[in-house]
Amino acid sequence: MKKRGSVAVSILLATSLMLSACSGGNESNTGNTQGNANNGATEDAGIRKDGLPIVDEKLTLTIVSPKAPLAPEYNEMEIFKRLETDTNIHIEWNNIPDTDYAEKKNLLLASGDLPDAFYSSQFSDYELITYGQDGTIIPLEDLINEYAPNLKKLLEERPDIKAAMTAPDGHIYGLPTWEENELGTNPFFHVINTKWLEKLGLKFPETLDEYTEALVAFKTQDPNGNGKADEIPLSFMHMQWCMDIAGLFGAFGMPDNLEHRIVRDGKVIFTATQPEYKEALQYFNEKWYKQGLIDPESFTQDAPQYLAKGKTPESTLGSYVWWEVEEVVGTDRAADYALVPPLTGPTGKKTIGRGNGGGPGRNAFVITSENEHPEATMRWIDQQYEPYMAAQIHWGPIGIIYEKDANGKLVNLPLEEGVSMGEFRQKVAPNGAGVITAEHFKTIVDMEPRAKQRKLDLEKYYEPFMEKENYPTIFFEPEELDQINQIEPELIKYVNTQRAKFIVEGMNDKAWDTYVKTVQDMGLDQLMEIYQTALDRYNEAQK
Amino acid sequence: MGASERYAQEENRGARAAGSNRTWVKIRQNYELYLFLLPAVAIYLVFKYYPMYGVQIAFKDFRASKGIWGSEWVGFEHFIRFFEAYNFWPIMENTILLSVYSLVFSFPIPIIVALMLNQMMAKRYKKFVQTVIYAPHFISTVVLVGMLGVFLSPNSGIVNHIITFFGGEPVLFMADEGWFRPLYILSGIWQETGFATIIYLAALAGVNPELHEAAVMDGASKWKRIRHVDIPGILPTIIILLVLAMGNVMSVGFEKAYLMQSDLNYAVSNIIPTYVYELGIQKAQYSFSAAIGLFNAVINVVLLVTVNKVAKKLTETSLW
Repeated sequence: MKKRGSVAVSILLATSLMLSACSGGNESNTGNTQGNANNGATEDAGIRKDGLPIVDEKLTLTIVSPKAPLAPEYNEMEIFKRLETDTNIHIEWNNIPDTDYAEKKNLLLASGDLPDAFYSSQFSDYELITYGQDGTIIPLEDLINEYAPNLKKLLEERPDIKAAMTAPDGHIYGLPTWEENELGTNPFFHVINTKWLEKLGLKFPETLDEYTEALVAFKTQDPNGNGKADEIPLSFMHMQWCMDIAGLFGAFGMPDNLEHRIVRDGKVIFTATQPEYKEALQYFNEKWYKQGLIDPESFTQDAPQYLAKGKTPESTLGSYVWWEVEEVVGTDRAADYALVPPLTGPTGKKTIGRGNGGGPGRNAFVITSENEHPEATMRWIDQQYEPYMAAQIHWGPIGIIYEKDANGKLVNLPLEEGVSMGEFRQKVAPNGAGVITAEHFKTIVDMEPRAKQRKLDLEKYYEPFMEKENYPTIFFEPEELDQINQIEPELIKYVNTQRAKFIVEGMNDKAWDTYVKTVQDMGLDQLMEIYQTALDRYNEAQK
Repeated sequence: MGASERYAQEENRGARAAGSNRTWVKIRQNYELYLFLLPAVAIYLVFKYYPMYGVQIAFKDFRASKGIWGSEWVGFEHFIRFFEAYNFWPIMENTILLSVYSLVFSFPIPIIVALMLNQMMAKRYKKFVQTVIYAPHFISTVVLVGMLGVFLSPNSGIVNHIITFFGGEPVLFMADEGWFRPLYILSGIWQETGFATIIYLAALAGVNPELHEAAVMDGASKWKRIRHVDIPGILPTIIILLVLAMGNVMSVGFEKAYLMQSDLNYAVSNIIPTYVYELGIQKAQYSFSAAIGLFNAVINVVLLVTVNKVAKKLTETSLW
């Protein structure tokens, strides 16, 4: 469905792109040169250097931002209404549904039809660098020093954040966003229906084979007792964040992740050509797919379809992957399900992947060359780096989500019955900018209950078996990014389509060899070399 | 178009003989006709010709900030990259097979249906059938693919319920490589046949009834009348439509293939238009995808010209 909605729009846009490209192309040339010139506009527009409101006379900025499916237009959002009252800056939001955002953003940039800024911009490093160097977006470090006291303070306290944001050319093109709570280390939480296990007299699986037996029993022994074989033993979403079976590859000795890239002893390994990976795929095909244990729609469904499977009138879902039990099966059934810790594989191995990256995001906010009031814009966004405000931007406003306790710490108000925090957060929090450091979690804001839960789960179930290293967030050199951008998307696409095929159709040695050879022809070695060089450089710099 | 162009050509010839003054006189005499033509010409100029200058980015390293004119020339670099890509041949094969199969299977069906409808005596029933088979044409592709997904779902789709009812194994229609082309083509036939019959029915209405009467007098059966009166009567229409269809061979509909695409059928569903979309719009490799698109268009033009020439030689019917 996600594709479907976007196609009509993108066709329209593609057409208009061709037209507007001609007009936009030439204009943007001039846009660069005048750019953010400080031509006295500051005083003219009545922009104050400190204190609120930021401007005396109402100022309007155009900002493009993706928005979560359940979120209202940002002007309807309480937190932004408050921000507008405080700052006297009105934002003309261009909210794009997040599923269509990437391509619409590309079209806006290609056509030169630029807003004043992008909020939760999702610019990749490649885009930050290319658009930064060609002047489409402007460097922000001077503006931060002058007009962003909150952010400046943060960066002074935490030089590591500043280092992470600074591009190899020394400029800062995008602002940070971060929740320093280390929840992203393993997004693949494997869940199993314990009610069914009990009913069928099975023990809680500890090895992969026991897990397989449980799935077989789910399929054949009618655990929901309605006389129909409508049970789905295992459903997931192939190669999707927090919904894939990547975690189970660890049972074969080498975990997988969405990038198929892990680090061991400082060496970058491409998992998807390793023997362990092959073994895992063969197992999933022979033991699972051929026996009908995998929901065939795991390879075609989208998130709404997937989430609906846990909420069928009669319980039909045996096992699934999601980083929170409730969101799939609903609050009533959550007690029937439990997390599956890493499983021991056929050869006695047990490990779980550590997600790559981590650390602050550096693309929360970018300002374009079309912006005539970069100072006011910087002051506006800086409000969101004031710690209390940052927390409200991330989770929701005081009075709706939080109240201040006696110590001045934000604590969660009780949620209404039947409301899921994940869904409610989408409605009240834009979650675009702002940094909440570990320190802030102690003094400023209480971690939301489900995050506490997730952290506990991670510590209890997964961390003892987790890989020691991961691939850190590295700001690559422009040439490296250029090459990665040319090789990686197609290579990963090919690997993923083959992964699905191997699980569904099985694979013999010949097919495997052809696959490995194709991946190599596509430039795997070159790609890994880039990653290795960058990692070595990074590790060197850390010493 | 054919007739009016020939008319214009004849006029031209006359005008040349008598000097350009005559042309002006003629134009002024028939100015209403030119006035009618104007909007169409304007639309083509604005929406088809004007944007064409953007094609140059296929030979440039397009950077949005430098604009189309300002970007650097790189010659055929993007074309070479595409020709040397590991997936060049699979993509070509997918594109060609999908469109050739579509053409082979879906081109004759509207003709057959039109011939049958034309023979139908009961007017009300004929109208009813026509309406029923037109209707799917107005369903948008997005909805159509959504319907396919619902009907063919392995867990809840009606088709698989029927299959399992008779003891079969559920088929993974939407994800199976082998089913991608049949589904694509069959759903296309279901959706477009009715609408495509309109042109043929109009052509059939133009067949001189006296021919039919004469054939009946000579004792020709229905089948013989179709073969020797109807089909030759609409042959020029068929040829023109075939030439046009051939010109579109490489431009298979993008939306449907893209919507039906999944990781599992990607090996056959990755065709030039979806690849261009993926790289150009989603991955922002504008120049590279423009080069592929341009390459595609060039093949189309070559095909169109060739088929037109062949048709002209064989049947004396052609576009120009």
